[in-house]
Amino acid sequence: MNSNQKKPHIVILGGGTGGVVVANLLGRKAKKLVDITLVSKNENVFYEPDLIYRLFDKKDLKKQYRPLRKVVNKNVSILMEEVVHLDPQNHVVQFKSGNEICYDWLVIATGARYDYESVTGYAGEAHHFYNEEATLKLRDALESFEGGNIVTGVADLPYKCPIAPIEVTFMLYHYFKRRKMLEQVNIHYLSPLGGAFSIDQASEKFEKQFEKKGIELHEFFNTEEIIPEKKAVTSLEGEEVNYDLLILVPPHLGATYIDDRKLANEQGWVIVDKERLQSIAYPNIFAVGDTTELPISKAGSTAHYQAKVASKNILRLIKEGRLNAKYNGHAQCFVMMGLTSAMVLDFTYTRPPLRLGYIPNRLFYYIKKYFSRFYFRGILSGRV
Amino acid sequence: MSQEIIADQVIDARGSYCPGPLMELIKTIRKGEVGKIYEVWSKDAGSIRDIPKWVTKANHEMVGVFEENGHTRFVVKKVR
Repeated sequence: MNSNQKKPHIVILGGGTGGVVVANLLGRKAKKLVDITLVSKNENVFYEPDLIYRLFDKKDLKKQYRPLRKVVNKNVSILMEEVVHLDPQNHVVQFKSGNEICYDWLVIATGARYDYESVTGYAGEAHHFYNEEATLKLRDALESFEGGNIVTGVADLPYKCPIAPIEVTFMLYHYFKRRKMLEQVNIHYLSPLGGAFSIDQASEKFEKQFEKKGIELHEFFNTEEIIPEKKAVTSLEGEEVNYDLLILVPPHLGATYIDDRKLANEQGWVIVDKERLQSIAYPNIFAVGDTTELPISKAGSTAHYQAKVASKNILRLIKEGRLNAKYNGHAQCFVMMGLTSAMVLDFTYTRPPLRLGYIPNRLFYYIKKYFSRFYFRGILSGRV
Repeated sequence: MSQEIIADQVIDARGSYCPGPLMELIKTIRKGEVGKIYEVWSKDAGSIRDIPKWVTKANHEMVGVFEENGHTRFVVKKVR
């Protein structure tokens, strides 16, 4: 590149796992070649997977936060802004503050947001554990729970960390066992699918555990409405389940600042080639993590693997005008099967989970429980 | 004869994987009118099991399942 030429500007939207890993890889490998800006509305990176533990202990959430500046490579500029509109035709991103930024290359990694309004009765009635405030509120509700029907499950697909509501269901069972309350508690699990989970082999395993623990599975339960006066949740399929405590993963939406339907669908999930992670309509746009429409789990591990592929492809395109890295759909999820044991699901677009991971044990539990230390130092750096 | 039924809406879910085709049908039926006929095109093997099972559970009518060239066509009538 001629030294008089302006360097290409890569803008990364989102300061979660996917955005930070892309920023660090590019910041380290291409500092002389490109200018890089990371845009985030949050000053901190938040480690979400530990939220499930906070339901059952008394710890605060301080250790789950790290300042963004501390985990992002110094060659990357950080802009604290909230995106309100993306104009892919003119390569411009507009912010809530009224400012805007132009890009040559764009990485969309803004994750998912919760859509409480789409289920009548949800707000103020249903609990969840997908952010700090809701988790602490549910922790208090569990502590004061004296018995009755606990209804857990999922309001709609897709949602982040697909395994989390099943894990929490198993943990609830063991939590009440520890409190010697199993005889006073009935646990129900609502699944929009024809089984507990979307992967058949794993679903069978979970269903056996549900049966063994007396947890009632309600298949094909697509939430229609929550009726607080009746303490009931109804399904599109015509079923009604009564609850004393309702824990329901809220419906999710993607990048709602995109109105170009060639770039993202109506729910805001960004449409990219499932291997290249490049927008089909706009070749200078890539997307990683929860905000994509990819047919794979929305999870930290997938965002991490996708970030490595997307950053390689952008660099190769800038240097050589071609790309060759492919994402194979790799996902790895550690699954809590109780309060102190876990199994692991490791799979790709075409390969079902490895059988070895199906055996719950303490080692997998310790890996999951203490993974946050490795996350901030290792995973976010993009070196692993 | 059933293959000649004209659907009110076709949901082309051939690029979608399990449980995508079923969820796209559910999303469409949720917003749809009673009496309308919907057709889902799916390449996913799991749809053969899931879609008819869901239609039965939800008390809609499974008009037919037809094998086409490289995909399956599920024809469903919303009855309630």
